[in-house]
Amino acid sequence: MTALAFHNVSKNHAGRNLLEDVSFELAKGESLAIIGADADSKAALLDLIAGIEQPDQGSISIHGQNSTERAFDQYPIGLIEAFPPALSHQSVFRFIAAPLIAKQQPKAEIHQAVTAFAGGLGLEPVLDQHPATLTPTLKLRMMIAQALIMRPELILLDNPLAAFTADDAANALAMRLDLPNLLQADQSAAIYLTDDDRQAMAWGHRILVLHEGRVAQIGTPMEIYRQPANLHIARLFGNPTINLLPASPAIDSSGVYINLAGGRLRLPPHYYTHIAKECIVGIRPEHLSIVTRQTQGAIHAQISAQTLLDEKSITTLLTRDHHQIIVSQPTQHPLPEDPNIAFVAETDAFLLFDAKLSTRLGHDKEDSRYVDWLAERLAKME
Amino acid sequence: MIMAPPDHLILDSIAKTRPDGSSDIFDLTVKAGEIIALLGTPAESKALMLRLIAGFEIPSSGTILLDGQRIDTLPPEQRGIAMAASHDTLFPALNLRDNLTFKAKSSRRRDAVTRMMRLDQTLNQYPHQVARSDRQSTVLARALLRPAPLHLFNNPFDDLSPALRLSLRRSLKPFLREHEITAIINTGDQAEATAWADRIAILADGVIRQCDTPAALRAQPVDLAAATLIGMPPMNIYPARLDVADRIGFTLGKRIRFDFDMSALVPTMRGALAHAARQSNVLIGIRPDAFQRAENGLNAHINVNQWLGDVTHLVLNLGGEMAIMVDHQAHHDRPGSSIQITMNPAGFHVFDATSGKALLHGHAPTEPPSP
Repeated sequence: MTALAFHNVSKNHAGRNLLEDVSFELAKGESLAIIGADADSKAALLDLIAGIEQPDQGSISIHGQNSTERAFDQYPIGLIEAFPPALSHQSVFRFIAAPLIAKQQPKAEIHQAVTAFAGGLGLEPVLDQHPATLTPTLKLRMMIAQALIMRPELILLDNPLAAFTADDAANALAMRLDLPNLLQADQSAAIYLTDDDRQAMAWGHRILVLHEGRVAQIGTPMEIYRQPANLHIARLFGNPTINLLPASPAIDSSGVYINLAGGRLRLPPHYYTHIAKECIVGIRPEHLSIVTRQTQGAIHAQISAQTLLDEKSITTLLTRDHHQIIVSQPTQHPLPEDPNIAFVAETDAFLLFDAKLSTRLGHDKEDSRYVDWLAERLAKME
Repeated sequence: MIMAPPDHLILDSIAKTRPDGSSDIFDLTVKAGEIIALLGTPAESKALMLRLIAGFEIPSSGTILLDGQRIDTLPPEQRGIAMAASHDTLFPALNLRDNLTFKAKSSRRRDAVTRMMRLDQTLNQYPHQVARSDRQSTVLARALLRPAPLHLFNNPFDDLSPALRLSLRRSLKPFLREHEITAIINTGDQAEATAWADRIAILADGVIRQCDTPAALRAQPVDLAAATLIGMPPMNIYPARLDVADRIGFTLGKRIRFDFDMSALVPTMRGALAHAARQSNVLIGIRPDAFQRAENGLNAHINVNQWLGDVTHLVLNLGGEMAIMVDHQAHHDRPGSSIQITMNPAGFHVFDATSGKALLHGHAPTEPPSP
């Protein structure tokens, strides 16, 4: 069953298109991560889903019911924000109970519900404390309890880990791992608004990339990472960022290759159907490996810097034609002492982008126009 | 023969007594051109150390030498040290360009700094006209522009825009190197510290516990503070008991037993084994990437599996103990299923449960397993 659907929704504010022709569907039990929304677009999205605003064009339906037909206070929606308002005059108990108190439910029922949800989230020892005294982890759990207590059919999370500072990274990571389980999201649908690519990858069954108010791509984390629609999305995901190198594919008797720093990167045949005359080749750092210069087909380079990042060792290489290339390897991998090394790429790891349009080749069916160019070249060779 | 660069800055037992009678005591030697990052808790200790060096705090005892000159008796302005603060220290009546050029000589360096700090578009504006993140960029840029024998960065990064902060992770170190800047950087972000620093000083309870290269800190942390501050996800820590027979081993939770032979220990530490084994309670530390998938390995139950593109983060249940595992391959086992794992001894550490001091470190087998 569809929990939430946007049909060609546009929203304009002060002459600016905050959302333009946005469509997506969200099933019960599914989670969608939305990344790339600026503050205004994000606010518009939240207001539209909550029913505070109506779209200028298009329609929004929640559980099959058009948003215009329902009063906004009837929406079964839970909102979880990083910085909750009104922490000043409540205990944790009263904060969690607030939606039930507002509905004037009997005290015994409120007490039972709060105890049940607080217990499940490990909040029992702090129920009498002041919300402002809680650690970011407990504060977020408190927000989750308040959202869940209404048994929402849709949970919205607005940058839920934003309150964690850089020196609290370990707790932020633990929360990133826990969050989907804490939401018990099989009963509801969840939308995560985030600015962090790793959070989007971790939380979303699907990811929606917004770019200037439009849907740039929507797909599973695997599709977004392995088949990004354009350069912008390719750069948005991955840590460290994808290597991007301008290249003109060329052809010889053994197939199509790319010239790089005096070496040749051979493209597997299934790439032949989508190459352009002027390409940008994207290779993710984890798809490159450092090898000795004797290795067949390896491209020579020099190590210019090495550093550790999370559980990886990151090596910056300088090729002979002065391109910088980042290689990421597991930390256990022994690092060579001689800076004069070579590197190889996994053959299936190339992403080819049109240098002019910055779209990924093969993403759009129209890319077959380049096949003619290739066929022509191949014919000449024969 | 190449001479090692001389000691540039020496903190000799420089101490500051707190109102409660306890003290921070810092000992540190920095070479010319070296980049030192400070990590640890409390955050006040790291800031205090920089403020003592800059002269904003008066030490209770100890001496500070900069280039062989004693500076702890000098007022801040005579020490000539550049410092970037964590808050807005701009002149409100000057536009960003004039704020920057205040005391700056080289224009080539100014262009490089404004480009790196992404200030090109806002130079003509006044502090109140620009975003907080641009003001903080200017604070940092101004410090970078000042010619000084020593640069101190007292966590000026938190208010920068996230995109700029991320790009600095790559660009700051080459800049400091090119301009031969000696720097001490206080940041809460261990990824930044690791990316920038030649050495990282780990502070805990008001003293520097260890000051070493990021790789050395990762492989051989002297105590729990150093072990848990370096590495993300952090090291898994378990109370356990070592048993030493023909192999060294321990049991996690109810029935998960890891063991490996003695050659997997850091050679210089093998003497410590008897001591570690005598301790009735030790803490075992296992790096998240030390867990590896292996056929016929130990059974682990998957609680969480988050594929992030470049790596996979898993939360495993090992006989009742939770473990975070980093897997460099993409696997898509569903939560609720089980996998078989082993442990690479290189990510294995033993700490004294009372003092937190490291007792043993594992090390990588000399012959790396063929892929």
